[in-house]
Amino acid sequence: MSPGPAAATSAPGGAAPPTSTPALEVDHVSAAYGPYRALFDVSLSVPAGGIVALLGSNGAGKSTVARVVTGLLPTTSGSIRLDGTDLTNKPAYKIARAGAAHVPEGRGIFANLTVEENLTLVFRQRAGRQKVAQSLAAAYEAFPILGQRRKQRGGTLSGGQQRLLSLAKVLVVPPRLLVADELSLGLAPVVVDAVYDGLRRINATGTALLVVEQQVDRALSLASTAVVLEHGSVAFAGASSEAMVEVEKVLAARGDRTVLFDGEPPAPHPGPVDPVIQSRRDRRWSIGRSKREKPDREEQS
Amino acid sequence: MGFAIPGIPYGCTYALFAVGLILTYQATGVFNFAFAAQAYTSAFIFSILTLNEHWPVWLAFFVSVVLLAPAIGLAFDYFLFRRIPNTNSMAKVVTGISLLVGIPSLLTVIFTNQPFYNVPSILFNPNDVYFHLFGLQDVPINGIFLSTVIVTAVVLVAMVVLMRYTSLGLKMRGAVESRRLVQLDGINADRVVASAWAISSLLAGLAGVLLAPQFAQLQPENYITLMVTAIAAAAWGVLRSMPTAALVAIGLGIVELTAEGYLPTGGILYDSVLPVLPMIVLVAALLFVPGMRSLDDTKDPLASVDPPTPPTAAASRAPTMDKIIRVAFYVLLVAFAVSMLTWMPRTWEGVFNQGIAFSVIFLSITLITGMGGQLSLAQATLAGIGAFTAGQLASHFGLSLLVGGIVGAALAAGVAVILALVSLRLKGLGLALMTLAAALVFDQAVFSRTAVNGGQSGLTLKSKWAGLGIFNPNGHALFVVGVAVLVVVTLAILQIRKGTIGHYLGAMRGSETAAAGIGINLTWQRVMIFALSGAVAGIGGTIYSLFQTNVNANSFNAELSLVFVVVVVTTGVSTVEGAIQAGIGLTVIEQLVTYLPGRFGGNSLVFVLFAFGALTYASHPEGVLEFQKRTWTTRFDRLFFTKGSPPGLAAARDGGPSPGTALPATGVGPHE
Amino acid sequence: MSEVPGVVPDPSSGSIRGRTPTGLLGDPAPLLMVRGVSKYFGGIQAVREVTFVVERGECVGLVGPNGAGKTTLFNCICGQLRAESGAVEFAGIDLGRMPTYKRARLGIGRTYQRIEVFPDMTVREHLLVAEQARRGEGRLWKDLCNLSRPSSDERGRVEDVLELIGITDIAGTPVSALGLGLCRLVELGRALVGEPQLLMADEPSSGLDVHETAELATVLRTLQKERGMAVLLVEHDLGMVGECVDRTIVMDLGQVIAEGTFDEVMGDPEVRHAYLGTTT
Repeated sequence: MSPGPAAATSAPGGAAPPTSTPALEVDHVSAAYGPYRALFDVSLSVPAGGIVALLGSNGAGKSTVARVVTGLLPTTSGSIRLDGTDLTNKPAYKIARAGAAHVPEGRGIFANLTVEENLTLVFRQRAGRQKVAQSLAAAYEAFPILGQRRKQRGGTLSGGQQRLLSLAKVLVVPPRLLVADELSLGLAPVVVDAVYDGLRRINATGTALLVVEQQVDRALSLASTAVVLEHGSVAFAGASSEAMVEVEKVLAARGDRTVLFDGEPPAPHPGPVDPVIQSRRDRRWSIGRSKREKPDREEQS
Repeated sequence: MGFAIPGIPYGCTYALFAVGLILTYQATGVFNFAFAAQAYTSAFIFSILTLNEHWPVWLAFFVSVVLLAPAIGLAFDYFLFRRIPNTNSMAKVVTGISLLVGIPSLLTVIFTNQPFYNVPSILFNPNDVYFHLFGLQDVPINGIFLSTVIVTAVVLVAMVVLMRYTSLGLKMRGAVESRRLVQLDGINADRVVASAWAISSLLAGLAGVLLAPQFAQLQPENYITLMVTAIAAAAWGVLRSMPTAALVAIGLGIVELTAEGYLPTGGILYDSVLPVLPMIVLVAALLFVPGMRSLDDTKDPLASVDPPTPPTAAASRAPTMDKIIRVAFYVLLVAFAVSMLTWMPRTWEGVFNQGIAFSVIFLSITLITGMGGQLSLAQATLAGIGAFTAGQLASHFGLSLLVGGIVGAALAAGVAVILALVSLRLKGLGLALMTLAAALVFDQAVFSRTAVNGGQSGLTLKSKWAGLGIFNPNGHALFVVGVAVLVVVTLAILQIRKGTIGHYLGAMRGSETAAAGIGINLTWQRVMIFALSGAVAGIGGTIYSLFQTNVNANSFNAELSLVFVVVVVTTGVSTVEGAIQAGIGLTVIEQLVTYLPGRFGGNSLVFVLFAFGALTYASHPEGVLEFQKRTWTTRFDRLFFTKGSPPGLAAARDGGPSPGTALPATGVGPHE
Repeated sequence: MSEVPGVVPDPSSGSIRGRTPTGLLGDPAPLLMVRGVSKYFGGIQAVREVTFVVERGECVGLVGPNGAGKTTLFNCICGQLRAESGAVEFAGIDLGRMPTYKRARLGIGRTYQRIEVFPDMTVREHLLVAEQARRGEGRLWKDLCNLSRPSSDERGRVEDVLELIGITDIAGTPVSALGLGLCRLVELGRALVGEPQLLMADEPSSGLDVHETAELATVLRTLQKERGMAVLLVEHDLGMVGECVDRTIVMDLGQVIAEGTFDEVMGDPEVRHAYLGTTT
């Protein structure tokens, strides 16, 4: 599998000057799913051309932030600015046209359309009619497996191939801001390598990235800044090097199961800990750390 | 030959509808049962404008087809279907059916009942013969033929091109699967779906006005019959391929006309088989075309953005509140019974009796739809089987109605089991269509036979009280019997719901895969719930005919099945009280409507009310009464029982402490 | 829930190795035998002549890139799909064309790659209905006579499983209010209530964070030791696989390309190329 795409269209150039407007500004945003509140006064920003990792335990609100930023979910308060333009609560398609792209977690493609139709739909919109053929060619070159299956219905692709398809949609015509939600979920490690390579490439051409991840080490190897969410609010925002410790704290402190409106949280569940597993768990963490420091080192068992 | 050639334009009328249905389904995700109603509406307005107001044909066409029809479609989208998630097959079907039932009635109410004859043709003059095919004298090609064939061909080509080759068609197919995903690509999904509705409604209006001259009198039934055959043709196209559907439709037209020409009238083939030919074709499609088993199957990948469905009113009540409501219910019940036995005027007693009968039939809907999770459009038919069986046994063999009722219920259950076995692989829309086909088959081939329905005067049932062996308190025996049956059936259903069957069905409704994975025999459960539903419907039918004392060929027709579904779903299909409230509510409203001046259209108003009540189904799939109950109990609760916070979900369920409301998956919901 | 006889925990390697328990006739009988199973799916051959066994009380990991056919294979074993060729035997019984629910009753529990919970029910109700399903068909007359209430035995079993997995505190919550991690635990509980001899878990840690995954691994391990339950585990989280399994099978493009201990298999060059990449 070739490691990354070549941009088919002219993308925003080079590194951004340090005083330019941030690609994304989330300002004191709160959000809810119907009556269930999910985000409480979240603020973060992604500098132009920068990469921010969004971390936290399950249910912390990471995907909610992604949805709010790209307009899938309305905010109950706060504002969102893309390249300085206020896009709070605008319909999702307007935000997409303004330059935001979202790779949602889960399937992210149309199962009933063929691979080629999936790509055509977005290329026609983002790159314009004239450039569709060119973009398709670039997509198939970057992801040959998609080229082989171009006439197949999206629903017949395997999970990982579907993820590659949703990536091809955004990598070939790079947006100003890419929000990637749990890209590595359910993907084989070798595929995740390719995916992250692709992310690096479009970042080099100026796309800002907001990477929501469960695999902390991967995300931190890519991003310079990290934001850690806990129970719908920001627990930490700062350099990646300090984020790891914070994430560990947050995950370890996670005792209660569900966030409550009122009443006492139930006592944290102790859980049996098999000493065999504990020792391996410790070793695994060190593998992760050494991976970050020396990316070329082979895995040690 | 003389019959085959005219069969082509005859089939083209079906083809036009079939293409319209498929286009709507492919472009909006909705199988639009209301297509016939939309066609009728445009034809109706066209007729008013040309026949009553004497407008020129082209102007009337412009207003009724080009302006009005798309406007109706846009209204459908904006107010109704946009609020229904694409995977909620039942909501889409129910909304479509309520529109089908309600719109013609609405027109009657607004414009008062006026018959239209000889509606003018929009293209060629219908009766002029333009030429003879191949110069043969017995194959005249007249105006109607030409209009129909040309328009059908043009529409077919245009729609195929639209869906397959245009950018708009691609966007529509994407939006059908997931509006949100389409939005992420930068496309205004709402506008795309709105255009889909506009185009499809334009087609409906065009079909309506084009075909109107063919009918001696303009009636909604004409279009509904057309639509049924069109559905059969569309099914063979897997609701996807318009050319296939058009071909099958034309084939059907040819076969029908030829058969009509050659078969001897009055023979069994002519009387019973020919009218059900479209249903046979539909059933064959549902059984043998693989794609029909998985309609409406694709899930919206971004569905987890929706908030989770709220619990039923019963689940969210605080325990004290629950007790109060239960006590109040029993008090009300006793008061009602006492009133019926004493002071209730005869008319109203009749109204409530009939309401009780309906309630029993509606409880069968609670079983199959509320508990079984499947939409059945044949419940009136099953009730009819029970009623006619009991009636015939009583008339011919003097059997007591008690015994006859049981036999009838067993027979209805048997038919339901056959239905279940035949449609084992079907679910959702496919199953609904199968039940509709069954209902129509019974209408045309069974209930229409004099041996069954007792001829012109219908079947009169003499109450065999002696056989029932109950005392007759002040002549209120009917009421006692009705209430007794209702209470027994209600208790039985409540027990079943609490027991293993209720839990198994709940699991099956949640996920058939997982239910099978823990050892639940899906086939057996489905057969069982169909059998139970059939039996209850059969009993209800017998009770109903007891109160009516006379039933005829039309007492339990397919349209009634549709009305029943609409009514019960509005009030609340998953609870027993929903069914009872629906039954009694229906008869009470029917009675109240008779007090209004005739100008308001009489019975049609009832249909309109319930149909538009069912439109709230889009926003409140649990039933509008459930929604009201929940809103009011929440308010009550907050006022009296909890200190200002929403009531705990766990409170009424496990009796445990109420921890407050928990957050749902902010990452991935269970619908991943 | 007695220990499996003949199995000796080996503390030095941290895994359970031992003699395979013998069947009635004294022959070692693998719990699950998959032999030459092939299946076309979506126009391609998703599973190609796959053969392997799972012994009683053993934990086997099944890994491989996406599209390798793992879920399709699971579906063939559980009966959702019918294999075109080959045979699946469970506890010596040829599963043939047996429907899914019968296979489940034989003692196969399963969790799903995409969560399949029952949205209307609470956690406890999930486990209760699974417990009731072991009884067989719901008896209508029993329901009507109010004889269907779960016995104290059944309720006790449900509570045991709830506690084992550690979800007693949320037992009364409707599942639609729970996050993915907890839903996966509920699915696991639902599968375990039937006391299966074989648990087939399809990517159970997908979407779980590090601690939730570790808890899950602990639970699986405990079950294996205490109940002698065999586990067939499809996973991408190699850390979890390394901790839990006794043996690993690697699939790619529908075929088995490697089989052995975790370390052996991860060192296999073909596996590295197809699956692991270079930076792991």
